[in-house]
Amino acid sequence: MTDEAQLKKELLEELGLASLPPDKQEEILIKMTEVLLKRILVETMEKLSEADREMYEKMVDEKSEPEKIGEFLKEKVLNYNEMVQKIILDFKEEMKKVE
Amino acid sequence: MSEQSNSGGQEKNNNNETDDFSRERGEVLCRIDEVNKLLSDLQIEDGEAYQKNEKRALKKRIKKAFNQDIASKEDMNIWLRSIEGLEKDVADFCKDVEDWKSLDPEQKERIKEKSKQGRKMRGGAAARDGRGKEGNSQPVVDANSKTSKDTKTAPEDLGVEPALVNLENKSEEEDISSGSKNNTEVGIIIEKQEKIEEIRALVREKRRSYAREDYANTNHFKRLKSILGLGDKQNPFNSKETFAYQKYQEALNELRNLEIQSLKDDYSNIDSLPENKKETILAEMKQRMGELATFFGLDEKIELAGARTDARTEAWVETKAGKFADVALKKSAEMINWYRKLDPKIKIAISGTLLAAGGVAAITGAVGIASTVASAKMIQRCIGGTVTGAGIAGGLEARSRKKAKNKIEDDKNEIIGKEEWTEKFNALNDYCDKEIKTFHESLQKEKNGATKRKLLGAGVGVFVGSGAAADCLRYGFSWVGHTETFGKVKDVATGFWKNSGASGIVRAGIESVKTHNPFSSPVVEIPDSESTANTSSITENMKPVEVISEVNLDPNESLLVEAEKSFADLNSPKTVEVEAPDAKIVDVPNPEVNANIIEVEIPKGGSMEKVMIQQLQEQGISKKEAGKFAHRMALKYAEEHNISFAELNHVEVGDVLKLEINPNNPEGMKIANLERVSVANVGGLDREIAALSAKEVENIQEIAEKFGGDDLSSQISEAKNLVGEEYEQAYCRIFANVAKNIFNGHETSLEALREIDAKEYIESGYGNNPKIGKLLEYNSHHSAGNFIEINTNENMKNWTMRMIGEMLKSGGIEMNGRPN
Repeated sequence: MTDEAQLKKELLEELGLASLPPDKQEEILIKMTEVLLKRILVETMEKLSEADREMYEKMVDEKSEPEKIGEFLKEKVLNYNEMVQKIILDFKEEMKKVE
Repeated sequence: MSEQSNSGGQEKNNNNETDDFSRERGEVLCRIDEVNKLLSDLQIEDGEAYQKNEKRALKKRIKKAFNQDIASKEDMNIWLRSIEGLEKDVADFCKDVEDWKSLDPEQKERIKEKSKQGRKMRGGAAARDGRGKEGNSQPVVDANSKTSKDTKTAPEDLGVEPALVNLENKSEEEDISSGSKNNTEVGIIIEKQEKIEEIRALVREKRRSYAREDYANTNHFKRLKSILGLGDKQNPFNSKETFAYQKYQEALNELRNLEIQSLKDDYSNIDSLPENKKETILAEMKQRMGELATFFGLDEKIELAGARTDARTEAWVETKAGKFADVALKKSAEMINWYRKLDPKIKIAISGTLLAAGGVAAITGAVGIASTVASAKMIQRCIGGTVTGAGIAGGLEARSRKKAKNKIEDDKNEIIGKEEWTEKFNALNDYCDKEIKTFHESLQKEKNGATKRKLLGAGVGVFVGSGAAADCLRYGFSWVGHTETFGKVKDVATGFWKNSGASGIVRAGIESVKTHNPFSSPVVEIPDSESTANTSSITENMKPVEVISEVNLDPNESLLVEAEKSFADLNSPKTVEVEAPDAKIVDVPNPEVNANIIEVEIPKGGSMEKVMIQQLQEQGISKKEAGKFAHRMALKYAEEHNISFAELNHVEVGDVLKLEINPNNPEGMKIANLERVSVANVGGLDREIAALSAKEVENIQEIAEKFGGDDLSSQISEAKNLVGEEYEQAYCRIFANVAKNIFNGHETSLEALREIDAKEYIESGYGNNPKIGKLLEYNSHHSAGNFIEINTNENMKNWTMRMIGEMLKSGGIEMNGRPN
């Protein structure tokens, strides 16, 4: 099995989706991703100060480069990458069936 | 501000509000009118009985919406949401009808043939999307009919699965639309489908209510009160959260019963079918059972997680009045809509990236997810590329160490593997019942943080830190398997930037994620965010969350008495300063009554251990032994809930100790829960705490150093590394400590403050810090123009807490006590 297939298999097993039909797997993954994206967004917004939120809005409205926005967030929010990572991992825990 | 001008200003505001309300109502009525016209103009071909039924059902909904009584803003919000759903349903129905008309006779014939092979049919768009009480329904297919012209099938090509109709063989030649027997059966099926859709809508509504109550109760009240040592009275039979949870469970149970009954009804007709068809139908039924198990075992959990996220978003928005709240909602809606409009393969690729690698260094958050995806560097990592680095193997190895859990598959196999179908149904029923009951626990566990990352754990640290994470991201995207996706992702991502920040997503352009699985909850389409009030994702018939505020205090509760007492404790110079207890939430047990759980109220002069000793003695244990067991129980409970023994022992009269007793093993008694008596809320301050930003964190540190010393400073440093609800907990804790220190250090100033009239204070320039005056002004503004009558402990506490909250937010202020 290729590394890619292995990783995919492990993710699906991790999330308890391995036994589902492929279309159902995709459907579930998409739903999970939507919830996750929203959570990350909420966390990020909460961490920004009022002034920073205005700056963010301005950057988006001015169609700033995505990398620039990413850098901005990393600068304004402490340990941003780790924060996002933790959100994702906590979410995955929530989704797993833990006895 | 004089009372007259104040009331004049209020009257003007009221008039403006009434005008806005009327205008909004008028706009909504126009929308209903447009939808009605659209539907009226839709021509349905002769013989399409099912479509005609559907049109009638939609007409009924329109009429009901038009005659809706709207008396308040809350009614308006609910109405708006239902109208949005109605517009979507009508649009979908019209599209389906037109699509069917556009098919040539050969295509229609082919579709009818397919349905003759006994494909199962679910009722139309509404069943697909799980939307609405009377959603789109598609014609029913006669699974046994030999004549194509007789059947009115829901074309699979239109994305709808045909419903199963078990007709007797002799009726094969009858025209479904005209035969009275068939019409009755069709009618029954329609009714059944409609009922199921109705209950699905109810589940969505109750899920949302529960998520909101759960979040509000746990996140704000419970934590803040518990860390202030004021506890939280929770009568499991009366609390809003428990009530909401019960209603949610009831709705889920009703849905489960309906779905299983539907399966049973279909099964009961199996014997009348020829053998070859029987096998097909049985196979489909097994699939349906599996889907049902998946729904209750997984889909609904995801929906609940989503609802909780929404509740949190809404709570955050509610605390942040002002323009950015709307912007944040809009961005959230735009981001989700952007994601939904992506090619499915790209959606999956993004899912894989996020979920497979657990975030990883290259991802810079959802607000930048689009930016991340658009980043050429990210795309390069994610699409194709070569495998490099030993770190990858390290990461994969970490993953392979986990034992895969495949509980759903095991459970499904167990259900389907039963010999008798009666046993299958019973097993399915039991499984769904069990899953429904676990929702509360799983939600509480998530909040508790009790489910720490065990699986990826250190592996992720290695994974990320080694630098291999970025390279490994491509594995998530490589599922796509086509290098041409590179260009598509970039274009799509660029498209997001073109659209975002513009006038908003055109409603008609939004495509819901359709699902063919009728058991899965719909992916709710986020309507045009500009039209939403205070909510992000919208479903029909939702009640807006009740904003917890002072005005909602129940004067009959004993809370006020306890509040006064607690406040006096805070204010008393004799108060021993104890670090606020950890705000981590105790597991809230399933509210079902458990015959082995007893509740004992702490009496005057009583203590936890005394109560436990007494109960143990009643179970037949000697006093000496009972003392040891009680102490051990308390220690264990404190350890499990991460609170100090001293804090656990600090109980108030009226607190309720819940003990789990095993009559066969008295020594096995344990503490199930300790419910502290609640106090009056402290207004919106809890929400303000929840909304503290990183900058405000730094400000708190300065105050903490001024008032609290090293201990608080280190707490704040620790808290900076937390996220989500742990972050809120930590700041609640820190805030409480600061507040207590201030109270204890300046109790005499509170007495002095009692005598102050805010207006006089401001005008005379009392105090050498203008910010004090500003705060008082703020406070008087927020109390509808009048300074709060600080003639009770309750008001004093609320007033002072609000002032402290403002201090923290503004970055520190000299609270020097007496005015000059």
